[in-house]
Amino acid sequence: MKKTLLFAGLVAVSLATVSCTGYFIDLQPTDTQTEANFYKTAAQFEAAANGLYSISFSLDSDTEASVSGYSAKVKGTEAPGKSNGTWTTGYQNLRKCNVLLQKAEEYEGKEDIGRWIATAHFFRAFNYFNLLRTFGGVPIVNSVLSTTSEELFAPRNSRYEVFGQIISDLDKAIAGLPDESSYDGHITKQGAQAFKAHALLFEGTWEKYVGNSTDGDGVTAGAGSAKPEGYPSVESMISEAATLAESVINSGKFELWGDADDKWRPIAYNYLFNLEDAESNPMGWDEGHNKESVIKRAYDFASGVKNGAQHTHNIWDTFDQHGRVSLEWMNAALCTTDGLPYLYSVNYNGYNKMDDQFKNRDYRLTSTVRIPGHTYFDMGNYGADASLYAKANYVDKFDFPEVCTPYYPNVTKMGNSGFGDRKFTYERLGRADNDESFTYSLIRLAEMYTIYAEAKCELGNGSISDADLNKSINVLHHRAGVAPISNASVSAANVNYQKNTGHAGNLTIMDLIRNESFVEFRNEGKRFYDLLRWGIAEKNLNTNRLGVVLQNPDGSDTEIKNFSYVVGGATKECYSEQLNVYGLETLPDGAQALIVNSKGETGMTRSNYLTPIPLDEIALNPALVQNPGF
Amino acid sequence: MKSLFRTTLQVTVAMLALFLGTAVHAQQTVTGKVVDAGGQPIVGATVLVAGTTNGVITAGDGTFSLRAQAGTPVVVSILGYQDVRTTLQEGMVVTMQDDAEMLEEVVVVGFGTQRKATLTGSVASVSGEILESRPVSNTTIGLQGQIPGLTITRTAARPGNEGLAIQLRGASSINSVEPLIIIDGSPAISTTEFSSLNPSDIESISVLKDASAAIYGSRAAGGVILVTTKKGKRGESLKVTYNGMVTVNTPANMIPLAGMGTWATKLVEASYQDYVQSDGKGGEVWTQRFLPQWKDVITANGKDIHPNFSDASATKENYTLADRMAEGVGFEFTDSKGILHYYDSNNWLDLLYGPTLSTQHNASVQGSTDRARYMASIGYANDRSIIKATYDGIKKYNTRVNLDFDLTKWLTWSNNLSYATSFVDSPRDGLDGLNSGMYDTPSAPAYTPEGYFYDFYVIGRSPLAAMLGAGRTKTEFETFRYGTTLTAKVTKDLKLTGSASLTRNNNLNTETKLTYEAAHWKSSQGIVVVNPGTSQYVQERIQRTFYQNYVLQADYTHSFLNAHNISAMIGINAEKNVYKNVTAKRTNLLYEGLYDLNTASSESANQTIAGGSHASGYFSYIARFNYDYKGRYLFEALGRRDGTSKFHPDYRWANFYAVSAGWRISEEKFIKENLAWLDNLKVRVSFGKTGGAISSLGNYDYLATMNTNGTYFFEGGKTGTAVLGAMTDYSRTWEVLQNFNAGVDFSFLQNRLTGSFDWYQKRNDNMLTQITYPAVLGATAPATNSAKMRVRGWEAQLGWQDRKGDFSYWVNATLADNRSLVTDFSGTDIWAAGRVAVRKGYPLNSLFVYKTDGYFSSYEEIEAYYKQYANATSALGGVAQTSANTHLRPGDIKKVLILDPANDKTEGKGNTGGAGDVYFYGDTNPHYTFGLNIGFQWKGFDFSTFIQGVGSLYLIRGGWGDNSGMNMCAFYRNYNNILTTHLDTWTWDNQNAEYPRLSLQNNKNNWNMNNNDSSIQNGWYSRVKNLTVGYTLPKKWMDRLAINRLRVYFSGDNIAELTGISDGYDPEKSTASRTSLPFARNWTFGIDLTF
Repeated sequence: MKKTLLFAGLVAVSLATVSCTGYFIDLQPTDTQTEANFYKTAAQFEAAANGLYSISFSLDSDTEASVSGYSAKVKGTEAPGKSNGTWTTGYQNLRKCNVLLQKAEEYEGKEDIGRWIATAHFFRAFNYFNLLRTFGGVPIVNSVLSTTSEELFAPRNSRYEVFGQIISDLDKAIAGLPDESSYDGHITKQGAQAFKAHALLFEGTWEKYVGNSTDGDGVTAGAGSAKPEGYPSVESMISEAATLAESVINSGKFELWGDADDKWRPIAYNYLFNLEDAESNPMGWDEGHNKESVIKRAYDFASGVKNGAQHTHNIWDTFDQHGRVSLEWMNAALCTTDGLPYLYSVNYNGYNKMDDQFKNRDYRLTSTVRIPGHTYFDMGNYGADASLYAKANYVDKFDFPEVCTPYYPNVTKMGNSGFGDRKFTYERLGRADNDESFTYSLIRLAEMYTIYAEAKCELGNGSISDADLNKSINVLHHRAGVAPISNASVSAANVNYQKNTGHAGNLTIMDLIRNESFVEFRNEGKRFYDLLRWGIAEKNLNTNRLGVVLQNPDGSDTEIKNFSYVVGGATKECYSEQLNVYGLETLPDGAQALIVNSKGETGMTRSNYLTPIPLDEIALNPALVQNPGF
Repeated sequence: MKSLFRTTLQVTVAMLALFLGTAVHAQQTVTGKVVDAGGQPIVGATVLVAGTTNGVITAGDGTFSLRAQAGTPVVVSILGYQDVRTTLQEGMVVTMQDDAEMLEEVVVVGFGTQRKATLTGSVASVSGEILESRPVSNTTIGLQGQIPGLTITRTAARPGNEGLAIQLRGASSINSVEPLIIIDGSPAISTTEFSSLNPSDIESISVLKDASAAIYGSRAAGGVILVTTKKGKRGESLKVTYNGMVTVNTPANMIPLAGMGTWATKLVEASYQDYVQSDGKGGEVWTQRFLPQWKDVITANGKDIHPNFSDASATKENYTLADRMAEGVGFEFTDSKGILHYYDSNNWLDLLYGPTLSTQHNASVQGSTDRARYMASIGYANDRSIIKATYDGIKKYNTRVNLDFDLTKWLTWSNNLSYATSFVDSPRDGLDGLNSGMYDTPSAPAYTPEGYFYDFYVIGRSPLAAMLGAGRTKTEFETFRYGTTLTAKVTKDLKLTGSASLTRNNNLNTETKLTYEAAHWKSSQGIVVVNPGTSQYVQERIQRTFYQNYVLQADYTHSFLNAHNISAMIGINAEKNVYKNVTAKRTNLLYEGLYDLNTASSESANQTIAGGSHASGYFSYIARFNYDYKGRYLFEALGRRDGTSKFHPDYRWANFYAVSAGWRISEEKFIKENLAWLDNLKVRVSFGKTGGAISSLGNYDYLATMNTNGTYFFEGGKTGTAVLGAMTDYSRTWEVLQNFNAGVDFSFLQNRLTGSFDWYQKRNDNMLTQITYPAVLGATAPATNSAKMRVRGWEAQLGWQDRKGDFSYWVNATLADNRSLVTDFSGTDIWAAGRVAVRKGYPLNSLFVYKTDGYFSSYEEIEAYYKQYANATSALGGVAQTSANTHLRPGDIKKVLILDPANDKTEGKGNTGGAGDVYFYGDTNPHYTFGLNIGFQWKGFDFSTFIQGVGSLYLIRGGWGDNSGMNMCAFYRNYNNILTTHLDTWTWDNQNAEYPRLSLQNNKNNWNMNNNDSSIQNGWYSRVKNLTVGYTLPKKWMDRLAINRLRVYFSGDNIAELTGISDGYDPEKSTASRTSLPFARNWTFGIDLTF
C-alpha cells in the first residue's frame, strides 16, 4: 500500500515536473531590451530612427592637397586596400535602416510611425549615395541579411540601379517626412528635398560629363552600365534638381545667414562656420540666428555634446592654417565692384603688397582668410568673449589683448601656401581644444541657390536668364558684398582679363556659376566631387598647387619675399628660400608664384574618379568586380 | 571552550560505549577484533555466521561481539578488503588484506555508481585520502597530478588568487571548455566552489574522461569531475576526528633580480655597445655613449669616460650616475634642480616576499545508529601567500552535515547540507606588473630617513608603498548548499530516486583604492600624493546566484540465468540558475580609515551604479543501459537529451550519447586455468558525443539585444537612440565532441602490479569560431560552429605494491600526453610570428619563429647579410643598416630569413608579421605530464612522496605574440632591472655566450629576442609536490587517553624541482607570464587525532 502510494506520488511529481518544463527553459532576458520586445511603440521606432543618424562632415581642401602633399587619388597612386571604412560603415548603416523598415512591416501598433519609416528611407538613400560617389555601383541590399543570405555573394549593381534606389527611397522620405516649422536637426521634408536636389544634380551632371567612362563592362571591370527600367533622363534629373532647390528656397523655412544692416556683413560670414553661442562671435548672435542649415548636425556644449577635434584640429594640424588656401581659390574669389573673379575684375590689383589681393574683395575671402597685418583672436589660449569682442570686434574696434599679435604669412614650412585659413577656426574664450561644440551644416540654403543656377544653366545648354541669376547666385553675391552679375558680366570679364593679363579671356556664364560653388563652399567637402561630376578633375588637379606670389610681372620681388617682423622679441621671416623646392610658376600676368605642391607628383586618371573595391571583399565575394584601372 | 568540547565528546563516547556494552552482554557471545594488515582496527566490517543472517558490525575500535558458539564458521567482509573465512574464537584477531585489485570498488559515474570491475568507460577515481594526505586547503590544487590526463595549472602561488585552470585531456576547443564539476550530484556554481570545498570532507572523486561523460550532455565536453562527500556508514560507530596543522610558507624561485652594483655595471657596459661601427681593420670603434634614464647620449671619441661630462655636484668628476651606482656603494646625489637623492642597492622582492604562516583545523563526527547515519564537519583554514609585507590570503570556513535516514526498510532519506564562506583579502596594487618591484631599478631604499616611502623616480613610484597603501581587494565567496534525496527500493530490482538540490551563492567583491604618499629623500623637497581625491574609490559588487537542480530517476537491475546481468536507468533532470548583480562605486573617500560606500562622496558625479541579471535553465532526459554476460562481456549505452533556455525554442534540444563495450579476458576459462599470475585483464572501447557549453554562447543567445544607451543630440536636447545590437544566429549551438577511447586495465602477480593504458581521440567538428563575411552583411557575424580540430592522446598508469612483514610500500606512476591539430579554420589564415593560437594544419598554440644561426662574428659578415637581404622588409626594418644606433653588430643574433617559400606570400620580401620568414617549431602545450607517488609504511611510521611534472613544454617569454614588457634579456627594455641569469652576454672575449650582446635599444633587443628559435626554452620540470613523514603513536599509549589514533606528521609541499627553465622563473607559471611573484614552498607540521 505504502509502496503504491509512493509510486503514485513519484509519478505525480514527475508529471508535474515535465509539465512545467517552461519554468526551466522558457526564459526571457531580465536586464536588457531585445529585438523580441522592442519595435512595439511609436516611441521605440523614434528611438530606432534616432539611431540611424550618421551625419558626418568632412573637411577638404580646395585642391585635394594637404601640407603632406596631394591625396593618393590625385597622385594616381591609390591602390585597393584590404578594407575600406566607407564600404564597411556604409553597409552597417544600411543594415540599421533595413532593420527599422523590416520591423515597421511587422509593426501592429496603432500609433503612426510614418515619419520614422520615412527617416529610414532617407538614411538608406543617404548611405547609398555615399557608397555611390565613392565606389560607383555597389550591391543593393534592401533587406536584413543573415549569414546564409544569397545577397552576401551578389555582384555589384550598376550606378544607375543604385541611383534608381536612391531616388525611390528619397521619394518615400519626402512623402513621409513632416513639414516642420522649425528645424532642430531632425530630417524634415525640406532636408530630403534638398538632399535629393543635391543627388540629382550630382548624378545628372556625372552622367552628362563623366558618362560611362568609369562604369566598366561589369564583367572584367566595374559594375557596368545597366539602367533599370524607367530610369530618368539626364535632363529630367537636372530639371528636378532645379525644381526641388527652388521649392526649398520658397518654403520660407530657411534664410541666408547674414546681417540685415551692413555693419557686420564684412565679418559675419566667418561665424556661420563656428557659431556656438552669443560669446562665440562679435555680433552676439546665438544658434537661433542660424536659419541657413537645411541638413545639420547639432552640437551643444552645455549638453556635453561636442564635435571635438573635427574642425579646428583638422585645419591646424592637417591642413595648417597657413597653407590651406590655394592661390587658385584666392583668385577665384570675387571682387566687389563687378562681382567677378580677381583676374577678371576691374578691381585686379596685382600681388605686390601682401594685402593687395584682399582689397575690394568678396567677404567670403576677407572674412575667412587671414589678412596680413591684421590681428585675430586665436582658438584656445586667448580667444574672445563678449567683453573682448566689445574691445576688438574686427569691424570698428581693434583693441586686441597684447598677447594677440598681428598675423603675417608663414611660408617657411613645406606645404604652406601663405594664405592663412580662418574658415571653421574658432575663437570662443573658454573652449579648449576638442571642446568645440558648434553645429555644422551638411546642406545649407546657399547650395540651393548654386544648384538652381547650375541646373538652369545646364538646362539652357550654357545659358541662363538674368532673372534666374538674380534669383540665385546674386543672392549670394549680396551677402558676400559684391556686385551682382548678369549675362553682360561675361564679356566685361573677358575684357578685364585681357587688360589684367595681356591674354584673351574665354570665361563663360557657366564658368562663373561653377566658380560660385568653388568660392562659397571652400573646405565643405564639395569641391572634389564637383570636379569629378564636371569631368574636369584630371585637368584641374594635375597642376601645381600655388602659394604666394614672390615676383611681380616686372621681375621685382613682391613684398612678402623679404618681409620680416618682430614678435616676442624675435625677428621672423615670412618666407624662406628653402621652400623654393619646385620653383616658381608664371601666372597669366607674368607674375611668379611659389609652387607648393608640384604637378610632377600628380597623375590622376579617370580611374581615380572611383575608389577601388576593398580587396578583402573581393576575396570573400568573387562576384564583386574591381573598378576599371585597378 | 576547547576543553568543554572535549569533555562533552568523551562523555558521549563513554555513554555510547556503555549503551553498546549493555546491549551485547545480555547475550552469550564471542568477542574478537578485526584489524588491517598494519594492525589498525577496521570499523564497520561485517562478521557473519556463514550461511545465516546472524551477524554484527565491528565497532570504532574494530571489536565485535557475536552471539554464536565458538568454532562456528564466519565470514568477515568489508568493502576494499578481501573476505576472510574463518572460525569463531574468543579474543580472536582477524587480519584483513587490502583488496588491492579493488575490483569490487564502486565508482561514481553520474546518476549512479558502477563496479569498477565491469566499467567500460574511461573513468578515473581517487579516494579522498589523496587529498587528506596533503596539507593543502584547496581541493583543486590537491588534485594536481593525481589523475592522468587531468592538467591543473595555476598562475600564482597566492591562495585565493591562484588563477587555477583545469583541463582534461588537453584542449577540446579553441574556446575555453573546463570540466563540469558535480558535487554530490549537483553542479558546482563555479570552479571557485570546487576549490573552496574542504578537502577533508571528500570521500572520493571520479573523473569521466571519455564519452561516458555524455550522461551530462551539453556540458560534458571538458570531462566531468564527480565529487562525493563523506557520509556515515552503516554499522559504523561514532568516530570523532580532528586534524590540525601549521604551515610555514617560504618563497622559492624568486626571480634573480640584480642589485644596484651589478645592474649599473651592466648598464654602464651596455652604454658603450650600441653606437659602434667597423674600424675597417676587423675591429670596431664606438662613436657615442648612450645612457637612457640616468643620462642621455654622451658623445665621445674613446672608450674612456668622456672628459667633458660631469654632474657638477657629483663627488667624483666625470662620472654619470650609472657609473657611480656601478660601484655598488650607497651615495647621496643632488641633481641639477637641487633635489637630493640617495642611491643604494635594494632588492624589492626581499621587501615584499618572505615566510608567512598558514593554519588549518578540521573536526568531524561520523557514525551511525540503527536507522540513521551521520557525518558532520567543521573546518577552518587561514592560508597566506608568501607576501610578507601585508596580509594576502584566504580564510575559509566550511561546515557540512550529511544525514541519511532509513525511513522504512525500503525508503531512505538522504540529506547533504553545507555552508562555506571564504574571505580573500589582498592588496590591490604592487602585486604584479608595473608596481611589483620587478621593473624598478634596484638603486633606492624603500624608505627615507624621515620614514616616508622613498619616491626615487620622483613620480610617486614605490612598489612597497603601492602594496601597502594603494588599497585592498576583498572577496567574500559564500555558498549554501542543500541536497535531499528520497530513495525507494520498490522491488528487489527497481529503485526510484527523487532528489532536489538548492544552492545559494553570494559573491561580494569590495575594492578600495586609497591615497598614499611617497616623498623625496628630503620630504621638504616634495611629497607626491598618489591616487588623490576622486581617483580613490570604494567599489562594491554583489553577485547572487540561486541554483536549483531536480532529478527523478528509476533504476532497474536484473540478473537471469545466472549469466545475464542487465541494469537500466531512466531519469529527468531539471535545472535553473538565476543570477543578479549590483555594482556600486563612490570616489573621493572622506574619512581616513573608513572605507565604505557611506564614507565616500555622495555627489552624483562621484558615484556609479550598475546592475544586471539573467537566468538560464536546462531540462534533460537521461538514460543508461548496461548489460554483461557473466561479468565477462560488457556493454553500455547511455544518452542524454538536453533542452536549454539559451537557444531559440526551435533549436534548443540536442542529443548526446555514448556506447562502450568491454571484455574481461581474465574471466575467460582458458586464462583462469592457465595464467595464474594474471589477476585481471580488461580491454574496453567507447565512442560517443559530448557537448561543449562554452561561455561565449550567451544566456539568450538567439535574441539580439537592443542597445538603448546611446543618445543623439537635436537642438531640443539629447534623445535616446535604439540600435539592434550584435547579430544573432538561431542555429548556433553547442560544440559537439566525438570521443573515441580504447583502453586496457590489468593487474598481475596477485594484484601487486596494476596498470592501465588508454588511447583516445577527441574530434570537435563544429567548433565555434568567428567567420568573416562580406561587409554587405552590415554587422559582425556571430561565431558559428564552423571550425574543426582534433586531439589525440594517451594515458598510462602503472602501480606496484607489496608488503614484507611490517613493511609495506607502493609506487604508482602516471604518464600522459596529447597532441592537438586544427583541421579546419574555415579558411581563415591570419597570424603573425610568435605564438599562434589557431592555425589550420597546426596544433593549438603553435610557435612560429625565426630560425637563427648563432651570432654575427664580424662586420664583414653583417655587411654581406644586409646585402643578401636588401629586399627584406621583414624584421630587418627595425635594425636598418643606416641606423646609427640600431644597426646590427657582431654579437647580435643571425636570423636565417626567408625560409619557407611555401609560406611566403611576400615575393621574397618577408614582412613584419613574419609570414614567410618563420617556421613551425612546436607548440606551447605541456607534453608528457606525469605524476609519481611513492610511499611506505613500517610499524607506526609512514612516508609518502608525490612528484609531478611536465616532460616537455616550449615557451617563449613575453605576451601573446608581442613580447611586451617581459625581461627577455638584460635591458630588453632599458628602464627595467635585469636578472642575474641574463648576465652571460656576448662580448669579443665571450663569443659563445648564452645571450646576445648587450644593447639599450629596443629595436635591437627585439631583433635579438622576439620570436627567435634561440629564445625558446623548454620548460620541462619535475617537482616534488609533497613529501610527508608521519608517525602514528603506539596504540597502547593512546588507549589510556581514550584516543583511538594519534598521528603526527611533517610535510613539505613543492619542496624541490628539476627544470629546464634557465632564467629563474617558476616552471609552473604560465608560459608567457611576466609576474615577479615567487612560488611558495610549504612546510607543515600537523596532527591527526581520532577518538
